[in-house]
Amino acid sequence: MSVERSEILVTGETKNVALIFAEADKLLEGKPVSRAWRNDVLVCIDEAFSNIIQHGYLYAPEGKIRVTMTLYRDYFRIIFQDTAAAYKEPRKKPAPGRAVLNRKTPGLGWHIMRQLMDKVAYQRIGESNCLVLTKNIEAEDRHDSEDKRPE
Amino acid sequence: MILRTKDLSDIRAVYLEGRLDIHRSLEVEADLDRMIADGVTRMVIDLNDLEFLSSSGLRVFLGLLKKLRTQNGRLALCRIPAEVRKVIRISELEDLFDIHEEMDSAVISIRG
Repeated sequence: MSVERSEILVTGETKNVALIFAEADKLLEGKPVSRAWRNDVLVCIDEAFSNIIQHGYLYAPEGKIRVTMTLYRDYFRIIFQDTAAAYKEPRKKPAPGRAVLNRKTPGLGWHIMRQLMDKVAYQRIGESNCLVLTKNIEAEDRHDSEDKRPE
Repeated sequence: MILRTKDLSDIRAVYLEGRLDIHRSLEVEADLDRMIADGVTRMVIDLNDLEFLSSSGLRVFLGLLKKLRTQNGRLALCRIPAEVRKVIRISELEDLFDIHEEMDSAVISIRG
């Protein structure tokens, strides 16, 4: 598998998550990765994009977000760059159950990204935010044999 | 994202199909809120055709659960695909929801 890259610049409108999904789908089309692996990637794209819109740009639709996706032989990397306010990256795992129901513990999106990705790295560089998500492609991710839905 | 409904006597069955992402979550939340405003207090959500769920979608279900509880209502989720169940599990929310393998058992649970 050779290195393939895709870059897209979108504004901070929720509907634009579909444009990023489309780029990811295009880049991963025909690649020997499982549906579960792809699903993890798409969920994390949604989490990262949501965080930027909600907590960075505070829903200001004109905010710009650059998304660069690179497919290497053994891993997939997604870089989100924006000029929103710096994020507060929660370090603690959110409390489960009832506390989440009462919205007492933010950070569910970060928690999900850390669980589904192999590496989540955030950096504030000058006036920009840079979030790098990396997901390895393990041997078991390279086929679809375990992709079964409940009947 | 497609949302279909079916009334099973006193219970509203809601079928979600597609990707419940940040954008679609806002639309689905508005649809579910309208149902509550129309007097629906018992709901089963069938997720069999849901492709994925992120925290945006999870918060829709959490918000719905909270709203229904304040009206002495009930919510159950059923037929959850493995990928969607994985997100619920890693969020440690499985115990919060009334989860069933089939629509029938979800309906019985809500009526019980």
